[in-house]
Amino acid sequence: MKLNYNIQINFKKLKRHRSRALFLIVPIALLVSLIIVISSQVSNIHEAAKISIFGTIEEQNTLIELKKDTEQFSSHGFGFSPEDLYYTENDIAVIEAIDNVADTQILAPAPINDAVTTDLVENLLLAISRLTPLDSEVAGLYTDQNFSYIPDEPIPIVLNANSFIEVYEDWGGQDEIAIARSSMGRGDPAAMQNSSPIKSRSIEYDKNQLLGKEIIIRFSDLPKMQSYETEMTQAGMVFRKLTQEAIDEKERERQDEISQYWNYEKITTPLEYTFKIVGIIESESNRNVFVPKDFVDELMRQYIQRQINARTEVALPLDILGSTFSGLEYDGLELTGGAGATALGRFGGGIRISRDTQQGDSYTIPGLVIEIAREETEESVMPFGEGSSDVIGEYQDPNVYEFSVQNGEILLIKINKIDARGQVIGDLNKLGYAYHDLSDMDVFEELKSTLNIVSTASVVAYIALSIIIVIFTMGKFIAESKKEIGILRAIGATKNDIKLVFIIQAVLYTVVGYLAGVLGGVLMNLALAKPLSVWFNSFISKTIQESFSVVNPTELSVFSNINWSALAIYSVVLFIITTITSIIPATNASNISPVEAIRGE
Amino acid sequence: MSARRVDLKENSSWYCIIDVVNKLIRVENLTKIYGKGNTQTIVLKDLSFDLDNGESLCVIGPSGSGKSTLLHILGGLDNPTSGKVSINGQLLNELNDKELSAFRNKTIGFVFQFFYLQDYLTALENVILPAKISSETPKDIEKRAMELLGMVGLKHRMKHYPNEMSGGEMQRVAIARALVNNPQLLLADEPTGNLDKDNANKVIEIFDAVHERGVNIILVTHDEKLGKKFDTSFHVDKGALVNNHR
Repeated sequence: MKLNYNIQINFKKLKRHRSRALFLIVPIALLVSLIIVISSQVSNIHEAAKISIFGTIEEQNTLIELKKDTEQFSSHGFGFSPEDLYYTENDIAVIEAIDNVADTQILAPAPINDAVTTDLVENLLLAISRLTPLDSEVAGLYTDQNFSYIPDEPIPIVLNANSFIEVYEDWGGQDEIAIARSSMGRGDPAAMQNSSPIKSRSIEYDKNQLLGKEIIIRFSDLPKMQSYETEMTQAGMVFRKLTQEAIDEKERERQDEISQYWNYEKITTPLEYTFKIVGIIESESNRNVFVPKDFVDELMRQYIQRQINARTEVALPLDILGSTFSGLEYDGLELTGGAGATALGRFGGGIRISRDTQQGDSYTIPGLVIEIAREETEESVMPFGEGSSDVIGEYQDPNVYEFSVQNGEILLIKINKIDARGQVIGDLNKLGYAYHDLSDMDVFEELKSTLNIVSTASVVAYIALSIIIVIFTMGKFIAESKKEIGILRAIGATKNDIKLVFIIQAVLYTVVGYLAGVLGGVLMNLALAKPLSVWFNSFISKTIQESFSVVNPTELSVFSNINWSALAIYSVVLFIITTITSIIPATNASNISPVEAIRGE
Repeated sequence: MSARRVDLKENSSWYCIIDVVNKLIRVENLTKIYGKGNTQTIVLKDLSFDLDNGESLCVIGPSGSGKSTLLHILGGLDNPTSGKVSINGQLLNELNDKELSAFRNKTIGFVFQFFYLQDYLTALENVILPAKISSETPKDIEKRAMELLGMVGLKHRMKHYPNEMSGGEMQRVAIARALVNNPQLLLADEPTGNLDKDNANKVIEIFDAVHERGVNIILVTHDEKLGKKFDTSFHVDKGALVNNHR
């Protein structure tokens, strides 16, 4: 029997026995449409995950964020050195010597505080602390937006969840509150917070509403006069409320003191800049607010220049510098915010508390840079110490920030290719930089792993099911076709003819089922796009978004895609399986004795 | 057809002698046994006969007697347990499956009691089927098929499907199908068994006409009257078709 006649009679059979043919056509159609949907959506979810965690996975994987584990130090309270707390230029040198490290940057908060804004939450003055410069090359971890500083344009800023903390006073009706030394000694912020009248609480915010918003941040007013005074005693620390008259009196005293050496109006003119929010970090370990490095250089320059411009002709005696008047300190290498400010900043949820206390009438002058002699000792930094450096004088170069050394708790490493990530992390660990990779990526890796399992399972199921479907339905067709087989044999069809008739039947019905399945699969895939998109964005916001700073909602169109290359492979697999699998029942059919087939009426 | 009828009983001395010049069929000691041991059934026992070119044979017996088995063996659809069958001098047991299929396709035409048309093909397509199965299909096969349908009086039904036809019509289409490859031998198994009297008569008339055209016919039936029309006929008795000698 010629092949084309074989095909012809199978077509005729299909036309006349449509309902019978559906036994094979429908399961195949279902199988094909399911595999289209599964394979397409698996790859769509992969793609969506890549897009939503902005930049690409490749870019993410070229950045490593090393953090100093300062938890162990804060719990002890004492017994640590600056090197333990911060990464330094030494670390940069060591790490940049590792193969495949392209760039390293220490994330060092700029020594500028008193940054406030009322534009984040209505009627609330929020402080922006830990303003940290960031190179645009490594900004990819925190934002997908352009991260360049362009003068006269809103400056990109990546805020932090910590920005949304309100500090307030709660005296509980008392005028005086004492905190035992024992609870302070542990350095436990929570215990301190409970006892202290200075409290902080998180403010709710809507991330989606805030992204893209422009806000004005005001830098460095004179610190607000504290409404209380503190006193260290044998027993611990005492907070004492001041009366309004006392506060006003202190304000006057301060103004008088400052006015001797600075033009009061000039020194109190705030620096204001407009920022555009391009990201919000929500991370336990990263408490920085990022702005472009160029901007921070400019800001610090302006900050210091303002102070320099405000100086009167009166010389500032050295004994007053550093005691009555405090500010930034420069030891020829590092520019710091001053020991006192840093230490006290550990309380109260990261808000800098002015050191304008009753003890010694010390006033912080924003932008004042005091040149000090460099400390070479390795003594511990006392949290309450007043610093024992020798004051050299006022430092008058407004560019000091730019050329000073930056130390910080976070070190960003950019590697030059993803393949090298494992090697770089291995080398880092060998050099003593403990790095736990994937902690933020775990959820995403789990998603990938789940998708891979689904993919593999669906391939296995697809192959198994297509074999089973073909064998069962062909067995059924042949059982119903015994008479047909008998008569075909009787009129001269060979065994091979019979075999081929049924193989062609299986293939033909599979083709029909396949075409129907492709159509059905494409339609089903489109129908699923919307619900999947909703699910996915919800999944991302609940899981991965906690780990990554900015997550883009995924567009619907991603989930409408069909994985055509997977479909091509599955199609070939299906037809090969059908052809091979149908050989068994077809051979059985050809071996049916024509006499037995004919007999039986 | 003039008929000589011979009754053959087990161990009987009666037998049929036919003057033969050209032997179309030669059957020697044909035995067919189904099953084994205690459950075995002897359907054909030691049967021998010849059929000449131009002769027709009628095998008579009740249902289940083995007459169909003889037909199937003659048509190469079944194998004897022992004995020899040759058609046109060709021993059937020397043919492989492919050769046997070709033999059936070219030399034999089958007509069955239950018609066995393919229900997904029209009358014309059913008639053409054996030709299409053949390794070489003549170019004018459709024309020939239409002629055959005309011969059986069904040209006007050529585009109809079996489920649109009566039993008699289907059997006539089956006869046309059996003749499409110009077979030498037409084997008919109870061709009128499922037909009413009128249709049965029509079918017998067609067989007459077919025989006139030189096709040898072997027909099995339970109808005694039908047997009278044939040159030769065998009778079945006691469940076995028996012919103990020439």
